[in-house]
Amino acid sequence: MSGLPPGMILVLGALALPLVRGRLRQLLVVALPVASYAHMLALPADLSVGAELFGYALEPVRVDRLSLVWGHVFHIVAILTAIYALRVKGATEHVAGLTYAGSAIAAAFAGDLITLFVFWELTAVTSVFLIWARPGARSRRAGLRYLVIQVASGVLLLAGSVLTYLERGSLAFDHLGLSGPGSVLIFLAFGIKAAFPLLHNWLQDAYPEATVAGTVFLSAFTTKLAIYALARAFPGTAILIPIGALMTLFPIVYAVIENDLRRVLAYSLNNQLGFMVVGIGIGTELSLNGTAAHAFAHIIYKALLFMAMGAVLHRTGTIKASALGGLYKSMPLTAACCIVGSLSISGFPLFSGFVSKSMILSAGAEAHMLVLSLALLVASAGVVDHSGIKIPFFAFFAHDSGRRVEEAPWNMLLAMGAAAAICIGLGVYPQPLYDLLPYPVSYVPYTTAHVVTSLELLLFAALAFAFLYRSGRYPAEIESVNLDFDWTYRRLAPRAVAAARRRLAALHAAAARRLDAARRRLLRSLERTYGPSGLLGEPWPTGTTALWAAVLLAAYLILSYL
Amino acid sequence: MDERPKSHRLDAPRNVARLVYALAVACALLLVVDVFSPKHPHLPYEGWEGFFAFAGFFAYLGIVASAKLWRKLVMRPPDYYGDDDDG
Repeated sequence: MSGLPPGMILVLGALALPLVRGRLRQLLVVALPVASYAHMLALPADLSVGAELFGYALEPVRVDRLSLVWGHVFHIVAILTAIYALRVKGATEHVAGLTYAGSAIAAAFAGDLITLFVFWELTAVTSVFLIWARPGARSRRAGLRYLVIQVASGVLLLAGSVLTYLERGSLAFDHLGLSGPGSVLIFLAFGIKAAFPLLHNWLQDAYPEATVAGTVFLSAFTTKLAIYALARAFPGTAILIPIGALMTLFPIVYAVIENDLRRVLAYSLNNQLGFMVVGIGIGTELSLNGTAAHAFAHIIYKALLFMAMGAVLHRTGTIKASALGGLYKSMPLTAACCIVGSLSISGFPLFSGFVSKSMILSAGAEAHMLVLSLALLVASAGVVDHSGIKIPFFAFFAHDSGRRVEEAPWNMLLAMGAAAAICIGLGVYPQPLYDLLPYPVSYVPYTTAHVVTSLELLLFAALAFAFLYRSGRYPAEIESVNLDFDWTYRRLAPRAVAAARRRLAALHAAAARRLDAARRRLLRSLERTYGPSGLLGEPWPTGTTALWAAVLLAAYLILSYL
Repeated sequence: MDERPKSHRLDAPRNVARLVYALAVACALLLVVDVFSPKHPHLPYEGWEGFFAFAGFFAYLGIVASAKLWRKLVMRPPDYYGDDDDG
C-alpha cells in the first residue's frame, strides 16, 4: 500500500461511482476521500518511493513536511466538498471532482518532474468536466478555453522538464531557481496555473461558469497546487515579489465592479494567491511558513465562500449582485457561514486568515521591504471590500430583492458549518496549523500591536464603505461584462484572424479578377488572329490561293533568269 | 413556508444607522487604544499613531475611486461576448 501515491485511492475509486446508485454512491462519495486521507496519514513521514522508467530514475512518492501541508488540506477540502456535492444527481460531477482532487494530491507528493507532469495534466482533463457539467453553450466554450490553457501549462512543464534533464542530468522535482531555459519554462508552466498577471484570466473566465459544487472543487486545487510547486522549486526567487504584489492589487479593482458574485470570488482568489507568491519570493523561513499556512487557511475559507455563493445560486437560480439582496431573511445559516468566511479572508482577529496572512506581512516588514509592505496594506484593505463586505452584503443584505427561498439543503449546511468551524478554530487556536508547517514556528500572531493595527485597518475600511454606500457613492451593481485580459483572446485575436482572413479573401478576389481579365485579353487576341474573322482563321477563296501561287512561280521564273 | 410577512430588525433604517454609529464608536475606541499600545516597528510607519486607521480608510476610498474610473474604460453590455445564455 505504501507504494501507492496518496490520492490514487480517489482517482481509481471514483471510477467505480458510475457503477453504483443511490445511497451506496452517496456513501462512496464521502468514504473515498476519507479512506484516501487515512491512507496518507498511515504513510511514514519521510517516505520516498523510487522507480525506474526507460532508464530514468523517478520518485513517484515523496513525503516530507512541505508536501504534507498540502496533503492535509487537500484531503480536508475534498471531504468537505464531497459532502457539499452529496445530493448532486448523476455521476459526472462526482467522478470529475474526486479524480481531480486525487490527481492534485498525487501531484503534491510527486518527487520527480515526470510524475508531476502526469498528475498536472490529469488535474486539467478531469476538472474541465466540472465546467462542462453545467448545461449551456457558455459553459461549453468557457471550458474549452480553460482546457486549452491548462494543457498548454502542462506542455510547457514537459518541455521544461526535458530541457532541465539535458542541463542537469536529473529529473528530481526540487529547488530549481531561475537558471537556464528549462527552469524558465517550468516557471511559466507554474505561473499559468498560479494565475500570474496576464496569465491569470482563465481563472475568472472559467470558475464562475462551473456547476455549483464544481466551482468549490476548482477553487481548492489547481491554483494551490501551483503555489506548492513554486514553493518547492522557486523559493527566494526575487522576481516573485513584484509578481505577487501585482497579483494582490490588480484583481481588487475588478472585484469592486464585477456583478457575478462567484466571479468576484475568483478575482479575490487571484488576490489571495498574490500574498502566497510574495511569501515564496521573500524566501525566509517565516515567509515560506506563511505561504504554507495561508494556502491552508485560504483553501478552507475560499471553499466556504464559494459554497455559500453556490447555495445562493442553487436556491435562487442567480448569482448576480444586481438581482440579489435581503437573503439573510430566508437563508440565515448560509449568511452566517458566509460572514465567517468573509471575516477569515479579511484577516479579522480570531479568524483563520489573521494567523496566516500576518506571517507573510511580518516577513515583508522584517525584511524592511517598505514598498511591498505598503502595497500589501492597500491590498488588504481591498480584501475587506470585495470578500469582506461585498460578497455577504450584496447577497444577504443591501436592498431586499424580495426573493424568499428555502435555506440551503442540510448537506450544504453541514459542509459550510464544518468549514466555518475550521476557520474559527484555526483563528482562535492556530497551534495545530503551526505544528504542520515546514519550518519550526516561533511566530506569535496575537500581540497587542498586531491586533490593534489589524482591527484599525479593517474597521476603518468598513467605515469607508459605510460612508460611501450611505452617501450613494459606492459603485452600483450593474449587469455587465468588464473587459479583462481574456479580451485579447476572446475578441482581439479572433478579430485579427477574421480581419486577416478578410484581407486574404480580398487579395484572392483581386488576384482572381486580374487573372480573369488577363485570360479574357488573351482569348480576345487569339480570337482576333485565329477567329472566324481573324487574319489566320479566315477561310481564303481558291482563286486567291491560285493567284498567290502564280505570283510565286512568276517571281521564281524571273529570279532564275537574272 | 411562513406566508406572513415577518419584520426583521435590519428592515428599520434606525437600526441600520445604529450599526453604523456602533462601528464609528469602535473605530474611535481603537484610536484611543492605539495611542497607549506598545509598538516595536520594523518599518517607519508602524510606529506612527493611527497610521493603520488612516491607511485603511483612505486605501479603501482610493480603491473604490480607481475602480469607478476603471469601469468607465472596461465596462461593456452583458452580451458583449455574445454568449449570455444563462439568464
